[in-house]
Amino acid sequence: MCYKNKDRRPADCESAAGADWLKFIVGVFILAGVIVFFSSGYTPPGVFGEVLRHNQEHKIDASPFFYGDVENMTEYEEGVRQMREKAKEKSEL
Amino acid sequence: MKNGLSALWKEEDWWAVWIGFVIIIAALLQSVPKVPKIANWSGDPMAAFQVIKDGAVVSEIWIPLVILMFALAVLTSIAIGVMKTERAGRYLLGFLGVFILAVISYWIANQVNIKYWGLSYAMWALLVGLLISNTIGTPGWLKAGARTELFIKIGLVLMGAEILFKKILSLGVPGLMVAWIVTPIVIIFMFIFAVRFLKMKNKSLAIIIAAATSVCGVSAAIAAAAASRAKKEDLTLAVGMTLIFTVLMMFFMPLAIQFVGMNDILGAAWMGGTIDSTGAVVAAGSMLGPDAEKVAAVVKMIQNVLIGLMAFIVAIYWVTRVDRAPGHKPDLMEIWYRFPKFVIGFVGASLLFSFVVVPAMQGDFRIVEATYIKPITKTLRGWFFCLAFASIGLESNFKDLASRMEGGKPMMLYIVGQSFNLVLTLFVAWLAFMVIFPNVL
Repeated sequence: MCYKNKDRRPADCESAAGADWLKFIVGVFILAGVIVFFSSGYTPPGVFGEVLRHNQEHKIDASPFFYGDVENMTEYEEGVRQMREKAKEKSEL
Repeated sequence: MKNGLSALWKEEDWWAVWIGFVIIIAALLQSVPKVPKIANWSGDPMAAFQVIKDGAVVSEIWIPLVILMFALAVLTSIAIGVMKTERAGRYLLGFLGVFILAVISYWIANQVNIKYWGLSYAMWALLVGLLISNTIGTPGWLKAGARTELFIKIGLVLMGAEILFKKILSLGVPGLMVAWIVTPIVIIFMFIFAVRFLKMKNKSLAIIIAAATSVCGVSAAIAAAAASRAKKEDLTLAVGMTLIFTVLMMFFMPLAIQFVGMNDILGAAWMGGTIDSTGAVVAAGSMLGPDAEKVAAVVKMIQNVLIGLMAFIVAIYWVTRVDRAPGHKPDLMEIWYRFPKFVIGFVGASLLFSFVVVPAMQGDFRIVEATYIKPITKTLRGWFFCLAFASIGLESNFKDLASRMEGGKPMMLYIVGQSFNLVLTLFVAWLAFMVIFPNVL
């Protein structure tokens, strides 16, 4: 893009490109740091990390954003169906 | 009608329907092999590319991944070539680059500790794309493969197959009350609040945030964005907000429920109706116990089923009210012409599976899910969405994102809307599960 600008000398363009690559490399390191942090198994102390520790202990995948992505959705549906049947039997008694 | 019949092969929306249905029909005919997916991994990063059974590596997915990449490239390049929006060869090269970014994003997202945080592939794909576009700039050859709208629309048509109407009755009337009464009220409230009170100029962003808050986070945001023909940056902003608040709500809602000693089922229904993403709902529900986990997940699932109807209504509203000249009332033909046709594929796939495929399997949707949806359409939908988010990242820049903040109005909308959602959902859940149907569970 820089070379299309007639007002800029090739040397300027080279330094701009160099700065962009430097930004990219810094960005890669930051992203890598973020990935290492989240993948390390760290949990915030006290109540703030309670849910996270629970997820780790019970191996609960909290990432799916749609119900179809939840591995054991069928079991949840079946479980609720059984809960309803039990409740119905109880109320009939 | 503008374009006439040629719209069927000239418009991206129609191509999304054709490609989506080619995949769906191939899945129904069982002529598609199992689609490869990146596996979960913890210590060994290469385990993501292995198929492990009973503790032993059975095979690796490199070759299936390459086959998938070329299959998707060929399928989508037919559309690109016929529409003449890009030279097919240039598109193919770009697509390969975007696909590699999608693989990297999935690989990061599938690290097990990252999954516990609730950070999905959508976020990583966006970040990877944004990193490139905001530093060295997205090279032209890569941009040629970043076909965000096409990927989103194909993904949505495939998602339609997962939306089975029979599921809305899983929790009886109380479930319907929480998921189907509150949700439309919250969407309408948020949209009116955004337009009338916050005076947000960007109505697409308002409806995306409203849909994400009230229906089901990222997936609803994608559907609303496509139905309202929103800009990519709007979707990026809404997804960013929903991801952050989902994690916060997953962390604090179960603690608050336990702190005040709320009934577990009521708490589960409350979280199922308010936390944006299903995975976070399951995690938060699990904190209250196994029954609460099930109830929370099923309430969220019932709410998820609304996504097709929501997309349809948003599309109609946009065509008839938002995207029209002042004082001009569009006739039926104009509405049809401007209507986003992929919505027909989205709703059509849902109707096909709900009222033809499931009944053909004696009404057992579990067989349908296990045979056609999970191994094929669901996995491919995930790939298309991941490609879309990587593409969005590649085409977005921070300056544009900042300019859409309108002085913090979108954030204000999310906070006010989510607060309203929390109060209303709690009230309706209490009414449904404690007052009207106390013995339903």
